[in-house]
Amino acid sequence: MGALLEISDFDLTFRTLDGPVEVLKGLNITVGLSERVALVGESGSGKSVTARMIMGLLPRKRLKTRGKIMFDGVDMLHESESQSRMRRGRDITMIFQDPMASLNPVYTIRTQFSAVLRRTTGRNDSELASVMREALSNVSIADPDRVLDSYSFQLSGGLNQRVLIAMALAGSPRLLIADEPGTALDVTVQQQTLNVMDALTRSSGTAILFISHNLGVVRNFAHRVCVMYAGRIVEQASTEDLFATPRHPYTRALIASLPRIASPELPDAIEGSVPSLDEVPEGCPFAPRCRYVEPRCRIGQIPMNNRGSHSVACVRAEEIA
Amino acid sequence: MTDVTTTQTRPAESRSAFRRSLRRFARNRLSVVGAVFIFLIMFSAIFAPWVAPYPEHAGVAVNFMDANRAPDAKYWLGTDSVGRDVFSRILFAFRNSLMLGACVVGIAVVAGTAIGMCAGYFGGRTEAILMRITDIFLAVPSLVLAMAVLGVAEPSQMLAMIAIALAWWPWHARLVYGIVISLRNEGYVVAARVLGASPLRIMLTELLPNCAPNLFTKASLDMGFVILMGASLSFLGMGAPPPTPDLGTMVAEGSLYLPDIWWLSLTSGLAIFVVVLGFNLIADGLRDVFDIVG
Amino acid sequence: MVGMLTKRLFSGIVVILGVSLFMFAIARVIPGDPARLALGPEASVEQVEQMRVQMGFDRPLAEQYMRFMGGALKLDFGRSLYTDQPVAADIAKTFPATLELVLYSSIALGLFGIAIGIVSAHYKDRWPDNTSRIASLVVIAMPNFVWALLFMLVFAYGLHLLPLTGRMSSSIPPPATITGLYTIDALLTGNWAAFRDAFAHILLPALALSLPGIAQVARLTRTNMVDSYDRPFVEFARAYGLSEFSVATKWALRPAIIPTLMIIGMQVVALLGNAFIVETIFMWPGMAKYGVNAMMRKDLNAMIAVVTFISIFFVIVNMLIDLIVSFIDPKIRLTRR
Repeated sequence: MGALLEISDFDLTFRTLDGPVEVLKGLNITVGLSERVALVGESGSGKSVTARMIMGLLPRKRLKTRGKIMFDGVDMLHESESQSRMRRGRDITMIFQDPMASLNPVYTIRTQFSAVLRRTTGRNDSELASVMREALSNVSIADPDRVLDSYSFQLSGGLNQRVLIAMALAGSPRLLIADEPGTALDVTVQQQTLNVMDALTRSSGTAILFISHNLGVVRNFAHRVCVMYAGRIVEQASTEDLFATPRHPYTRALIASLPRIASPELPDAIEGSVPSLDEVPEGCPFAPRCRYVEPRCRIGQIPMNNRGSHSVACVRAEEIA
Repeated sequence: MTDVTTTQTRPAESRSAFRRSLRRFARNRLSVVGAVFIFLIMFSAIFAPWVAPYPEHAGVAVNFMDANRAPDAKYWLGTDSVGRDVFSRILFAFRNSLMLGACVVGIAVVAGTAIGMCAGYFGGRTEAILMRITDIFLAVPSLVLAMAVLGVAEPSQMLAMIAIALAWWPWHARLVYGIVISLRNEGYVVAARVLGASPLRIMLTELLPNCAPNLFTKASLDMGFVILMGASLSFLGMGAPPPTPDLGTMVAEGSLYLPDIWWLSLTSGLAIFVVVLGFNLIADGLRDVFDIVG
Repeated sequence: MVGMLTKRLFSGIVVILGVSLFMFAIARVIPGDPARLALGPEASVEQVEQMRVQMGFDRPLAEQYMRFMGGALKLDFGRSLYTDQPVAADIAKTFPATLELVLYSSIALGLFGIAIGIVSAHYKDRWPDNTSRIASLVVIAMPNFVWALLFMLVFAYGLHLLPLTGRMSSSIPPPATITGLYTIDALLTGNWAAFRDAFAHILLPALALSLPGIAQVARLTRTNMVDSYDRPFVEFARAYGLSEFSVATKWALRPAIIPTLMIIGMQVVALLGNAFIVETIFMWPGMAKYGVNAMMRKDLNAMIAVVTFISIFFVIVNMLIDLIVSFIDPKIRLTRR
């Protein structure tokens, strides 16, 4: 029984004007049916690239890939552009970081939503209006007609975000990729957004690949978490396990850096900064900032240490625990 | 936009900034080609009396024996209807064109910048009046405006300069005005005002450096188009009177004999093209150097 | 939106007034005697004096201007020195020819300019783009009149494909006058022979007139489209599997086209200026040619009228562009300023 989305041993290299840049290395991610997987990491860790790779939004000519990406048993890397386009918006949908910027400022919501629906559900025009209204009320929008006839700049950020979610889930896709949803919004609105996403996907059975740099949000939402650093997965586990026993030094540092409201102490910051993608050192990419670093951390490719469903890319995993 | 602190760089830094700009400019191969063109043209224009094979043909000269000769070894680009060497006349015509361009652009930049800055900085009634005047000048296509001014008096090189400058300054005024109104509420401007700096001082030290890159680029573009306009005007007969060598007039003279005697029109036409293209390419390169968007 | 239009109209009127005042002023400010210039150096002193009286130069300036404005409001711009007809009638006779030329050129500008720009942006940095960019540079740098002469050489003299001058061949009578635009009138009256002839005649002048403008519009459209392609909402459209064609012609195009439209407006007005040259070369009997003659012959009344008329055209074109832009850009339509 295959998972819905299966990324195995995936390497991605960009061909740039300054030479090839290895962006992703040895990625292993699985998303099962109706499962919620979070992809966590700082800016520059490669999470957005991964999302766009899955969607097929990266320019094929500039890429060199190795490994496999399978969706529902189909090899996505070797199919034609038109097949890939067929799937987009129907089986896999995506919502982006900045909701207002994602909507076209010169067309009404109605026009854009209709264009999307015509593609994804193949219903005729007369049914579209009622489908749209229903979709919008499902995301707790009280006055769907007013919103439909508005332009994105007339609506608040939270409203725009819910419109996007409605569009993404209207066709009941199998997988929803959410790229930092609500990051551009304030915290209460963010929570509202997540609640809406939660309710809708539960009823449609849509799996979610959830990208975020916010561990707190992830904790309440995801079944499993993948932690990314410099284009690699450094730790993968169920949410419970990850927060209870984080094994990778980076994960530990991340969790330690979460502010705790009840505690009088300031959280620890992580020394140093994320390496830019063309300067990743050999061996473990986190070595320069790790307090458990040893010479053997800097050699070759770090193998995954698996304890059940909890994997860590650290040679000292057993010792540090 | 440009960093205002360039006004405070030390000499050593500004030298390397200059070298960096040079390198950025050189990255755009076409701009370098343009710069080479213009350099050659300027060189031949300045040294025309020594470079031209027949410098005496630039003025009143009659050589009927060699009239209307096609390009050959003796006259590289042929001769015109009274036997003057086309190549020499083109070189001298470059002189006039470059001078026209420099004067017009100079006047337009100075006048336009002054008006645009005053309008943008002082606001209120000054702004309304100055910008309204600018709009009026912009309402008539540049060529028509220049022609109208030339149409009321005897055409001459000087009058052509004034006419084109009158048509050109509003564009600079608008450009500077746009930049100034976007900056007039910026922190450093308000601070300078609060500290008691006089408007003139503020305009010169804070606002002008921010306009400089756009002005430079536009001035370079302008050189080409002003020369183009000058040629258009003299083509219609409103430029410097004969026998002054002028590219537009030469095209017009040659056009009477088309299609058989093609070299006069074609070569002077190409000469105009090369000058304009050269300045346009330089402007493109400058845009890259100053990182101007749009 | 009505408010914005009336505001535009008002400032447009101010502009037109200003232009006429300016024209009025320079004739009397620039050194040199217009009456003498009009009559030429051989005229006697008495004739020049007579001319001055006829031109009204002996009256005080303010009165001259009042008489001028009074006449202008009645659409009476005086008589032309050269044709000895009322200038208003002259303009009415010659304007349709220029309008037809500018119309065809504007259509070429919009259609070709935008199309080339879109294709260029779509194939960014590949050969269609590089070719069109270099071609644009070349086209813009070459003066209008050189293009016109080149076209004449190649198409008329060389290939004998298209006629050389004028609006129609002398053998074919012009169509019945409905709009004054020969090609439209011919179509409206079903006169195919006239249409073919008139169309063949307008091709070269329109092309020569519009070519630099097409290049400018193409360049600008390309820049705006490339910008637009980078925006998040285009990625959004692609994420929903909308076809590249749809993205290029609708999704990315509409937001990009707004700055382009404003430039097209400016280009159309510039067309009117360059028409002066093109009409002269192609012997096109339009208002611009009439204007050139007026300027050569120092026909003051005609000159002032032509320039004022052009400024009216400018105001109208700008208002039209404003209308179209506010139709396309909802932000302008909906936010009150």
